[in-house]
Amino acid sequence: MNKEPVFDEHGHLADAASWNPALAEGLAGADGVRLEAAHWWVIEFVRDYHARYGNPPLMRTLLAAWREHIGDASAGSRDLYRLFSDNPVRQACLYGGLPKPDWCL
Amino acid sequence: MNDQSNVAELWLERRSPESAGEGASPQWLASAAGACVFLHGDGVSWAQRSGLDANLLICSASWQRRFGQQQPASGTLGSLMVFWARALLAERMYSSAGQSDVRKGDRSLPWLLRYRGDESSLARREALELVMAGASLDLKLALVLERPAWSSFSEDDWQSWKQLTDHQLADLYCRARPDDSLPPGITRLSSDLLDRHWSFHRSLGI
Repeated sequence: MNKEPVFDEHGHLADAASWNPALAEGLAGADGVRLEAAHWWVIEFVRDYHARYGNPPLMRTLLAAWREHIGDASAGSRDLYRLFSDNPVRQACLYGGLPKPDWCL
Repeated sequence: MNDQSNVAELWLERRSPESAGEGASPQWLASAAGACVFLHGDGVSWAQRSGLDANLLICSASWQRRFGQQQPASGTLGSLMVFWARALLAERMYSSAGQSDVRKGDRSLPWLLRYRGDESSLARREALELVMAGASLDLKLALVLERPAWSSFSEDDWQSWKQLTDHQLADLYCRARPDDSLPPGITRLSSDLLDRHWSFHRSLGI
């Protein structure tokens, strides 16, 4: 029997292990965001980065990876903000079941 | 209280009052009027003391991790971006880490950061955040991990710090002996190379 997901005071999933793609779609949908392939690429990149290093990527790191992914060196952060209008890294953490970054960068 | 916009002199304090020694007074308290002191890592504990005659800026994340929503008795909370913004403007920089700032060369040269790492695991993680904040501003950074720092790194510690080189956020060097074992991709810094050959914009112990 599936347990109801538990969220922290910031609206992030309290237990990252209980994350699943349907949950991400639900969280994004509540913000009016429909997750498409580009969104998923960002979410997966941020999840993989967090798993590897223990923290989310800097925006400049995400942007560099995005440019490589789409093969366009001229792509700018505005392209990522079109996908996640609030903050690409933070929203990818939120929908990706990761804690809210607690650093002050 | 002095004017906080004055950036003639910027101090970085990452040591707690306890590690400075009982009754010890930090050097920045005796520094010139107008100096700004950025408290980071375990150093934010200084802000629990009231009546300190200094312009204290306190890393908000370091403070919240230790003291939650409690308000500091002295100083103002600010981000690591504020620290770097001030660092870019400061005429002189000093650090409680023991190595004072030396300015050489021009701004196209890297900032040379030296990290001893003999502090709590939380403060170590925060030292990495300090470096990453500079990297997020596209500053050219070269980081030297002194032996006390890296020699006690766990595999997870190495993995965290390696994001700096994996993603070209900073150059990473370890001061190590020839027989020391370093993970792949980490550059060994011979004992005299740094002082003899390295040009940098500014050097700072963190």
